[in-house]
Amino acid sequence: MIGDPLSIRPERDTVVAELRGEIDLSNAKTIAGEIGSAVPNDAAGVVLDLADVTYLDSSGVHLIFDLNERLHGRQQRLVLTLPEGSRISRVLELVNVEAVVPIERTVDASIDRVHAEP
Amino acid sequence: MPEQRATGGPLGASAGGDDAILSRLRKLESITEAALANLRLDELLDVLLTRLRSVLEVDTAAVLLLDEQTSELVARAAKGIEEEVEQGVRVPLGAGFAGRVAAESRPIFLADVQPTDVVNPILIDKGIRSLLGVPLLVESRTIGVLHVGTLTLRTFRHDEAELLQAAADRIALAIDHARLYDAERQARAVAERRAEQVHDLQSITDVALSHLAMDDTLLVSMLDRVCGLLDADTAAILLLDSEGDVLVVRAAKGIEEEVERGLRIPLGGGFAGRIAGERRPVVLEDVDHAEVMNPILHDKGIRSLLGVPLLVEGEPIGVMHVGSLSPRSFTEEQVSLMELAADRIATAIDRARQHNVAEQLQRALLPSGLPEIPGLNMAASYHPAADDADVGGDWYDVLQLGSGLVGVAMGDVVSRGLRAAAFMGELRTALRAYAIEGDRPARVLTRLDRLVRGMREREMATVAYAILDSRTRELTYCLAGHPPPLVIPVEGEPRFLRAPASAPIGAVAAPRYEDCDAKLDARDTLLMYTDGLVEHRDRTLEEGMAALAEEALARGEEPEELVSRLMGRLGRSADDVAALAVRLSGVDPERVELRLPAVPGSLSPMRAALGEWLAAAGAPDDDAYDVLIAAGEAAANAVEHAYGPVDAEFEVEGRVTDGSVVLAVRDSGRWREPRGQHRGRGLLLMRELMDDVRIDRDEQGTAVEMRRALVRGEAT
Repeated sequence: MIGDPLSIRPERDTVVAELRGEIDLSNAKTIAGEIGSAVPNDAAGVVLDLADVTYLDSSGVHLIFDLNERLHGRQQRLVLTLPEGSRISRVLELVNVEAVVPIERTVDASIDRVHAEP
Repeated sequence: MPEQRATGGPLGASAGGDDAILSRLRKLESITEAALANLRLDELLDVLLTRLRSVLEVDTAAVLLLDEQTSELVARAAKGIEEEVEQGVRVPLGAGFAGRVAAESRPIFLADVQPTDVVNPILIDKGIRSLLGVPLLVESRTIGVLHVGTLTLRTFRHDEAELLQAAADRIALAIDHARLYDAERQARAVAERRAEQVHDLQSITDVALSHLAMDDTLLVSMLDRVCGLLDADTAAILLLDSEGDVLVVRAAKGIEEEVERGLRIPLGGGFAGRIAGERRPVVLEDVDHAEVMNPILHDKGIRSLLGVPLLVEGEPIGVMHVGSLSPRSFTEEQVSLMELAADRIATAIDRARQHNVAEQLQRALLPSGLPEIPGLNMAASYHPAADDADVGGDWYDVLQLGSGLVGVAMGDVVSRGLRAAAFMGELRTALRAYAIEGDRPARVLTRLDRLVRGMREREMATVAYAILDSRTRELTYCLAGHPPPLVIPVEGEPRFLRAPASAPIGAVAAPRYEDCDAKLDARDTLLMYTDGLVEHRDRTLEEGMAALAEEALARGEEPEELVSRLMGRLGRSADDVAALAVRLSGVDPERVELRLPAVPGSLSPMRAALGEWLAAAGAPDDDAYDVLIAAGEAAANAVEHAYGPVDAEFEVEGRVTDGSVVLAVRDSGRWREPRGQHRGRGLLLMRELMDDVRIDRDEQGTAVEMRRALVRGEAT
């Protein structure tokens, strides 16, 4: 596998977690843990940038839902960034992620969404 | 008899300074110079005589040449009234006018020709009145006569006589040239014929030398050639046995029974025995039956024999003889040709014998076969040096290192011969030992170098060692002064695996060896070779490598085919050549079977392999992606649920049936019912992405079988 599948940066009071490559059973748990511990209490929320993810299965879906639940308990928001035509959108549709977690096309739009009124 | 002698004095009226005459002379000379340079003798005589006739205003001009064997002058060319006379009129030396000119080697002028003066009746018949003749001289030797004549009484002036003599000198020179040329041409023809014969002979022994195995077919074909060269009916080669005292017939033509009967002739006895004993050619023009021990020669009716010894460094190793069914003699040339043939054949036989020992050792030290490794197809080949009695210690090796890792080694010992072969054996064993410990290539080569530099008799070798992961297709390699391996893809240009410059094993103190990495694609071929494949006398290493890359250009060949073609095309080298090709197996579009450790790390390689198979099976991208996710989910289940033995495995089997992909994922664990809110998503995805999902569980394990029509909606 090429490089680290995760990089995290703060942007406008938000933690932007950028995922890359394949997310499956072999790395989903580790990634979830790393993101969870990287979110300060005062952050408005987390943007999960999935633009460069080429594969994501139920482990990845589990990661999203799990993260969402944990953030929800802390009054923090999770927003996904997923450009049009992404390969993984089919899986996210099938498990109806959008009913629970909002999806935006760009990181900027996702951060805006984090700050938006509920 | 009215006669004027030309020697020393004026011939008739002198008109030395006459400009017209001088210019005519120049004209004549310029023609002769040109003629000498460009014309054949006949053309030259034709031009000269025609020109002389008009310049000197005479009615006949003729050249007669001396036939030294008969002492006669023979008419060679004529213009004017003698023209119609057939060539070949003969005049005895000393007789008649021309005969006198030749015999006395001086110009003679007959102002009024009398019948008694001439032998050639045509001159009288035609009414020749005056004649002037000059000798054709080559280095003061008379080779013929040039004469001119008139039908009216005529006096030739001094300058005209000089002109004639000048023309005669030119003609003599031209004739001498032509004769020299002819002689030279004949000599050359003989030399060429000889060279051709030798070449014929050489071509057959070259074949022998390149084969390095003196089989009977080869010997017989050489005898065929020898018979052809010497126009003989039978031929045989007898070799001294290991004791060196008995000749045994090894090959024969026309007298094949000799071989069948395994005829043995003691040294010194009979025809063949005498040749070997005396180490010189023997000719029997009329076979004296008492001299020939071999009854077969009698039975066959052989009348004449020529035999020569087969010598190596002056010592006889055997005898070769040819025979004729009719009595004949053998010329000196034929005897020496036979000796030449024997010399080459003896060399070939000797070289083959010497080579055999080292080559047998070399071959014994090379792997007798390559291991069968799933997912890899391999072939290797070794050719000993084509025209060197010494083998070069090239070697290769393939090692199974476990977990799908394969070690591939190629090496070339710098020295030659038996010692090189033995050193190669040591290196090969040492490399195996280090490699099997699991060392990375650079570490293996470093240890090999230390070992070699610790040896009492220092040798050097170039080595390439690579570890190929047959599952991930990742390659780690290291070169010690060895030419770079070549990666040949199914499509596109082959590429050399570059590495930092490095010293051969055993060459320098503390060499630096570094590992390099490369990623291969499915169906790529990795080619390792020794420099004999790329180094040739007539081109640079770069050119040799370019030629190799070009020759290896994608043809989708299997290793065996590739190696044999490359060795055939490029391996004709003075050096040993070894080549080893390892091809990553392609994908069978009909089916795929994978067996992987039940660990999360297996999921990604499983999907990669399955993805390749789906592409090969012709599944559209989107369909393939859906199938990959479903397979990934099933496999993830198998991994999560694996229990029992530490190294549990799971299997994925895929095939295409009736336009559908059918996938089976099996494990030896127990299917667990999904629990909790999130646990059912894997199964949900499988059911959504595939047309049909079945789960079978029993005590042995769980099998998930899924089906998906390719291009949904079309397969019903």
